[in-house]
Amino acid sequence: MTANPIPIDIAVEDALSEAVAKRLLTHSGSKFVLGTIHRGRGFGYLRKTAPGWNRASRSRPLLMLTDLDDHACPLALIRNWIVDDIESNLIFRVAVREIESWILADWDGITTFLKIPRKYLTSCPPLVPEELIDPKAALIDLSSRSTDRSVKQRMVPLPNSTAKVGREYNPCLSEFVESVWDPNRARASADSLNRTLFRLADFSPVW
Amino acid sequence: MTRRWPTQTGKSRRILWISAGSYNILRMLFTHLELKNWRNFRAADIKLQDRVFIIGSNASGKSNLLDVFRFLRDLVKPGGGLQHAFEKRGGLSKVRCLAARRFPQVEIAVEAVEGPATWKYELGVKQEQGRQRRPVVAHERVSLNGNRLFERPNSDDTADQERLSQTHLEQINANSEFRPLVKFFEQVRYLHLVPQLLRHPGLSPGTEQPEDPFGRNFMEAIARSPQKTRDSRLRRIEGALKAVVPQLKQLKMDKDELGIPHLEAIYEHWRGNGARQREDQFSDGTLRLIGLLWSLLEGDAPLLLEEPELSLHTEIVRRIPNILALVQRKGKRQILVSTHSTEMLSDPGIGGEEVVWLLPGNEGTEAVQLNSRPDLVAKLKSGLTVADAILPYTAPQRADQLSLALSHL
Repeated sequence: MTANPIPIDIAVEDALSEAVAKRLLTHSGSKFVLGTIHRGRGFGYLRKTAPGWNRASRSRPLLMLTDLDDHACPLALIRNWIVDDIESNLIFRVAVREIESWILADWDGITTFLKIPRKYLTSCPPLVPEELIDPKAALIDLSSRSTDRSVKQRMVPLPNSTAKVGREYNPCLSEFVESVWDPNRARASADSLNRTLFRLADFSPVW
Repeated sequence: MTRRWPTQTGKSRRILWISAGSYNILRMLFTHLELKNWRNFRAADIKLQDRVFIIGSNASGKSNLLDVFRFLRDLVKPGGGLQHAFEKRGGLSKVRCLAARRFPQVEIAVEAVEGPATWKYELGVKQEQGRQRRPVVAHERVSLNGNRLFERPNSDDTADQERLSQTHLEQINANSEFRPLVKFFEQVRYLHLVPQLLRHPGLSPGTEQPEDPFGRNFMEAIARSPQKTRDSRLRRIEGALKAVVPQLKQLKMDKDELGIPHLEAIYEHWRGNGARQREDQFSDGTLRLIGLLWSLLEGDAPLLLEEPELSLHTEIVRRIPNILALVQRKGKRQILVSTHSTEMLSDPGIGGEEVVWLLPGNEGTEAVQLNSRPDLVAKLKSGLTVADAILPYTAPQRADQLSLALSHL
């Protein structure tokens, strides 16, 4: 017997998290059917709206995905953002430290996609993506070693720019997430992703 | 000993690659702009990157800043010239900054770089003494890599004051030494597509603007381009449009019974063959997107875009900076954009050095580059986007008064 797919909405803060959230849902096979994507603009959007999403999830399940950034631990962040009880239909997941850590966790995938020559890879220390203080910077640094000029142009900011990422950083990585990124490969080296996948697999809505 | 051709070695491929890259670099770019008494700006000194976002509140001078480049084009285009450029703008008194006081001249200085060559063009304009009161050249200079090619007024100008009513830029006889700069100014493109004008060409008064930035003759411009180029561009636009307008099946150019060119799209619908629609039935958003994409694909000269976000959905607006970057990665074309849009500036790949922020005040508008303000640089470097960092400041401070004022009507 196959159950009806569970309708689920997404609330995220940037384009990359959106791509990852969508990919996680398709990874769960036909368990979920994607509803609305709420992507707010600007810093602090999710934080401001989180209590609202929590209440709204009573009528329709919602996957909320955000970065841990400077918070001590995911639980502290969640408690800080939502004072009420967390509704059981709200899947609130926090990427440790940033969503980029989950991307780096699929090391084979990302190094192939960014066309990084092997000689650079052997010189890298074994990578624990969740322990990186600035995974964005690690990803940019990796991209700067690419043999493909267009990868560098898209991912790496111009010298002397105040931008932390290249001009096509989001589209480039979203493309990776949609076409290459394998959550199964990545979950082994990112615990917060592993837990998210378990949560999605176990999830059943309460109506 | 057999001799290998250089192209067969890995090394030579690298050389080819480098030369292909340097070809791109050889596009000319505006790198620096200085203004005195130009419209809103009593004085401005702006460094320009290959992508520039001009932001500011209403009436802060975004369009007036873009207008400098159109002015330079008006100087050199066929049929243009100093007198034409000022007439078109309502005369020197309309152009001169309202905040200007003792210093009456309008001055423009631009620097443009093409590979190793750095060009500089400086022009000062004042009002002619006497009866005619025409705008005349107060000074005009061109230099290449710091070497001055000429300087006016020279002895000829002193002997014949009439000469000062024209710039050297506009004279084929005088500009041979700096023709590349002249050609560069002439190629500047401007787009501010107004869908209503495209749909109802009769609405617009007269035909005094042959370059037609507002899209009245946009259809003819598309029709005039060589068929092969046109078809390939329309195919690419069609591909992009499909992502936004899923029902759209085919976009092509056709002529009606009177020979007037029209864009035609086939929309899928419940009838087998779909529905044909012409541009006068397209939505504002579709038309503006077609205009935007067409102008991005057209040529490699600097492109001035006036508020490209109008009528477009926020999801598309968010992607405009990425689309510009994509076009530039392929062709190194300089693009200057004026915008109000928070969505557009929320792209994390936009650096402070790319943003010119216009702050209106009693003494005219001040043009601030975001990377010159340490407080903003600190915000940007900590990972905030330009939108997060500055948009709180750019909203009209008394916007709440707008509804209050109207409530008394």
